[in-house]
Amino acid sequence: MLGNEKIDILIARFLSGEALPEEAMELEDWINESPENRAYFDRYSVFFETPHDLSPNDKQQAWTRLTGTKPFNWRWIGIAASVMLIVAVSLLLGKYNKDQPGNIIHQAGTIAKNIILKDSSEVIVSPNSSITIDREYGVHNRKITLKGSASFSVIHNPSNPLIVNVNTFHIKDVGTKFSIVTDPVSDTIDITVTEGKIAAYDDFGASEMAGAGEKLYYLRSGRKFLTLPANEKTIRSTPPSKETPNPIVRKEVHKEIRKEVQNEVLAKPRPDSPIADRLIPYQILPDNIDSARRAIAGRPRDSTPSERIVADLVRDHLITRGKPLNFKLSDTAFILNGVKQPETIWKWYRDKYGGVPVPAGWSWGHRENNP
Amino acid sequence: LASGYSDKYQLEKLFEEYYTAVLLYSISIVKDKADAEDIVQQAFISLWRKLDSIDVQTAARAYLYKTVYHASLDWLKHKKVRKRYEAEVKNNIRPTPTPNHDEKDLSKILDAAIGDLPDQCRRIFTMNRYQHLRYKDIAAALHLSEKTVENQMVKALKIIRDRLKDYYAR
Repeated sequence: MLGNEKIDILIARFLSGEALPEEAMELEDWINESPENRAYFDRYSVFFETPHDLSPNDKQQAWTRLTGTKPFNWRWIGIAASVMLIVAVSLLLGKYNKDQPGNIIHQAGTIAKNIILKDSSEVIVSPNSSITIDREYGVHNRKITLKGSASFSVIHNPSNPLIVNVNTFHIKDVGTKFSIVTDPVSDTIDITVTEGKIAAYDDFGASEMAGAGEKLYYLRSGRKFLTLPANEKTIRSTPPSKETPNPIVRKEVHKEIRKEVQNEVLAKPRPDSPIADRLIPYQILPDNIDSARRAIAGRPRDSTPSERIVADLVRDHLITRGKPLNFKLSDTAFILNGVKQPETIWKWYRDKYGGVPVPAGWSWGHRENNP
Repeated sequence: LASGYSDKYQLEKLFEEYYTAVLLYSISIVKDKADAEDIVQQAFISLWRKLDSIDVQTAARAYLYKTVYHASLDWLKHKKVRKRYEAEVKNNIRPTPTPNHDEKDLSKILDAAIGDLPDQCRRIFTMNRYQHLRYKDIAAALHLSEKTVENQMVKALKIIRDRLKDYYAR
């Protein structure tokens, strides 16, 4: 608690533009301690041109200028009662980070294991699965590495979100409850959101968000996302429970999900794609799935941003492979083969591939004869 | 061009948490909201580019405050504001507010309170408040120490605050 004399000096220094960064932070902390402190400061600030506060519009406009996008409203996310994620992962095992000294490993045997973390978050580790709690969990981070499956009930903290790492794939908690199921025989990660929002991203630049009622698939081999309306059946059938899940039932569920993902990835654009309503889905025979998936979704694992854009253009049926291509994506327009694209298409690609805003604007050009 | 989602996520959290505070801080130095907004925007862009190397849980706030502080001072320097202010001091362009005892109007009460300050106290307050001079510039102009200037500013604020008590009590 700071004395009045010191506070008066700090306020005088702040309002007269003399405060050093440390003093400004100290004063800010004091102001935020109580409404009385804020009122005390406000009565001084009327003497100067320093406003007491800013309107929400000021802040939103500043964020829009900074990023070119509207900010998410994290407040409602923080209040959200729960988020349920169902994640199916395969072929992700075997390349885990090496355990660091001091990390805590919880391994479940043939029955699920219930763990209460330092921050009172709860994790139910499914049978034959394990989680590794970072040694600095709750202090500098809230990182957990998952092998297998687990269910999380998270005490939400916007300033220190819980992150679940599954090899090179990461899921960031922006809600309070979610479940993750990994399966060594699947190439997909699937996340079903029933409430709130989740953020998922990998180490190679792919990222996506999904809201309530959406299912987000991540295809590891293609490093791409697909968002679909959530399937109620899979939402209810796949979250792990405290009881030992029936491995046969779970295997069947995953088989069904894998089939659905493969067909959807191959046949449909994302439902939020600007041309989603212009395509007719078609079925691909199971025998051809692997080769077709590689042909359509596949691209080199170290693909460049341009290659990822090209893949999306092919997927969205905006271009055909084998024909000369040039495009320029910028913060103001999307010109594809000399044709300015509709606003919805530009916005979709801008939002996905737009980068750091700069005062002079940005653009991304690409040209090739045989994409 | 490209920036990972995780960076943007981190940036948004930091923006939500610190934008208002560092903007008010910059305004306190440059005395101009539009310029302060530009300074703070650049600070966040700079932070965005350094997210990988900054421990966002512990160092981002200090980084923002320090960046904004130095950028605000640079702004003052590059705009040659100091020279303009020094000229204003020399010529004593702005008159001291005339006391007005119509206490129904806050600005009039404030003017009256300033007018009733002791001479040196009023002069220092006015040079800072209206001419935007920094302590060291006031000290140099009046041949005083910076500590004396600071003490006089604190004294001025206390006196004015006391004069405004009745206004806030209504």
